[in-house]
Amino acid sequence: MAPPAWAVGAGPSPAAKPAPAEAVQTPPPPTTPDEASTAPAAGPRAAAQSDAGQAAPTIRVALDRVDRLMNMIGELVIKEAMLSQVIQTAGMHEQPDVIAGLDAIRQLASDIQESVMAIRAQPLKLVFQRMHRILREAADATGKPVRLITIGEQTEVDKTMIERLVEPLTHMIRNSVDHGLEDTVTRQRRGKPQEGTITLSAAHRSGRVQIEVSDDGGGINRAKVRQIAEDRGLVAPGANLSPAEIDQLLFLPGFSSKDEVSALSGRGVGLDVVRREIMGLGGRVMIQSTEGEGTTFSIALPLTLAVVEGMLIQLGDQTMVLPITAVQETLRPESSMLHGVGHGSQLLSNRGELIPIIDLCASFGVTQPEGGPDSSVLIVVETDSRKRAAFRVDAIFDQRQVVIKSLEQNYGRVPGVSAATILGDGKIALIIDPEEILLSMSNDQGRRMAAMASNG
Amino acid sequence: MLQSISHNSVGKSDVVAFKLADQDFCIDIGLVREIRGWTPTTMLPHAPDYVKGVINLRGSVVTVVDLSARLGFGAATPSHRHVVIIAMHAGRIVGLLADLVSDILPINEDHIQAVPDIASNPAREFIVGMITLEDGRILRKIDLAQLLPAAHGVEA
Repeated sequence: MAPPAWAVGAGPSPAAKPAPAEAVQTPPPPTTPDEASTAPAAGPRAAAQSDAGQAAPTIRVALDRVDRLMNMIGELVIKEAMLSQVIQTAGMHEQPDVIAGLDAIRQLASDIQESVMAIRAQPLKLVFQRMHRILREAADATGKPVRLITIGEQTEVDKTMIERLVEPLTHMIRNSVDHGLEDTVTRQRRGKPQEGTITLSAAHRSGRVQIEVSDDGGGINRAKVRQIAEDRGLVAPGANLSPAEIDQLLFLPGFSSKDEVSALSGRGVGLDVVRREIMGLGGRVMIQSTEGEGTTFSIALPLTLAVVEGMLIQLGDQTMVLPITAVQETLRPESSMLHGVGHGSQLLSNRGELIPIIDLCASFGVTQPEGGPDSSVLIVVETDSRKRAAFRVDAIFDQRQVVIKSLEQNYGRVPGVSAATILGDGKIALIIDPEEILLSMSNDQGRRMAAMASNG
Repeated sequence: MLQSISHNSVGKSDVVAFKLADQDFCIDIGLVREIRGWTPTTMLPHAPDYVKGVINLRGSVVTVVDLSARLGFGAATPSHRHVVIIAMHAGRIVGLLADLVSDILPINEDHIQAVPDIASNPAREFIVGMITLEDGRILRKIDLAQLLPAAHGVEA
């Protein structure tokens, strides 16, 4: 899958800097402990800036060595948390030298973790450059003049993601050229420049990496999309669909909006593959489209595949982790804010907005202790598809970075759970996937579409 | 490794014998990685009732299967006296919850008998053979492949 070796550093492009790849050169001067403690925030971006000025020496390292290092650091972080809990229970947490030592270890552990993550980080330039060629080929094949603008190609993401982004992005670029842009005649008639523009942009946005592919084409013809979906039996005729839901139909397997098969796309391998790939990376794909003005596909990816910032919550006797990226606010509701709807379901009225309440204990089948809804806490979450809900949990106790451990390796997929992690006491906690929980709670239509889109 | 042992002594293999609800069971020793005491598990939502949950085994997430529930004896209420047999099967690590591990025994493969037809017993499909020991006990040999949840958990 992964090539055996790759260059450490900010990944200079081969064309710009013909560094002798095979020769093992002097590594960058190692950071001394003093430097590490004074500048703990030497993250990926700082590394990129120092490399940009001059040709920093690089070495090539086998990927599995870096992975092993990453795993061990994960263990170190867990052991450190265990140790600090032991010290707490032993009553030694008031001795200043113990505290100082522990703090130093914690600081070092997180510095090492960041440094290794910076080793794994590479700029998206590596993928974006390949897209120029893809675009030229697509433009030639369709006979549409197209220009590609890339923005933010210095944005860094995990190396594994770089490799796995090539295929979905290729697909999306081809899709934009073939389906997104109108032909020259239509463009002229609509008063647009003959040459179409496709913008490929990347940016860090609140702990995630956002990649967007947008075109200035005709936008999604929703009536046509709906018609095709109905013809193919993907939706019931006359179903009540919002524009956003119609856009989501594009991600269904077997959907092709092109009437005739072209050399580029429309052969049944469609956006469903893109969505599956991106979801496999822990990301999401969204569509925004304005009729006559263009379509934007946005991909939101986690910064790394190894660590997630999470909120530790209590559900019955279980501890779980809710990724912080989804959390909007937490609140202890007053009874005047809660409104029952029918039997069993409740809405939260928060600053004039009505938000459905999802009882996480019920959705995970956790036996809830005595207490009732009054003693619980609500966490308002918003997913990338702009859906909102309030999760009812028993308590929130902490917010911290947790190391992601695969559940699928030894067990399999669990609905509503994205992965697991190991807490300070050595126990395992499950990491909640808010998007999946919301999807399973929405109406039958949505559930069916989601199931089809994710199962392929 | 096990292969070479069994080649040296033709027809012989070692098994790990353990007890469940006063019956003796065994699995091939080659599958067993280690035996550890019971530690509380983290529950898995939507899992079959015989899946007790997951534990942390030196950094990996390992599923614990309640053998008692799986074989139809009813769910176990684990205490610190229970044991978890960590076994490796088809590249996956799994923990098997048992009452206690009794011995490690050399078994002559000729002595493994087919299971007699017992109508409608859930344990029947998981047992591949019966071994009569010299002291009159009967060991029921378990087939891990049948026992474990399907490769992709509860999906589909």
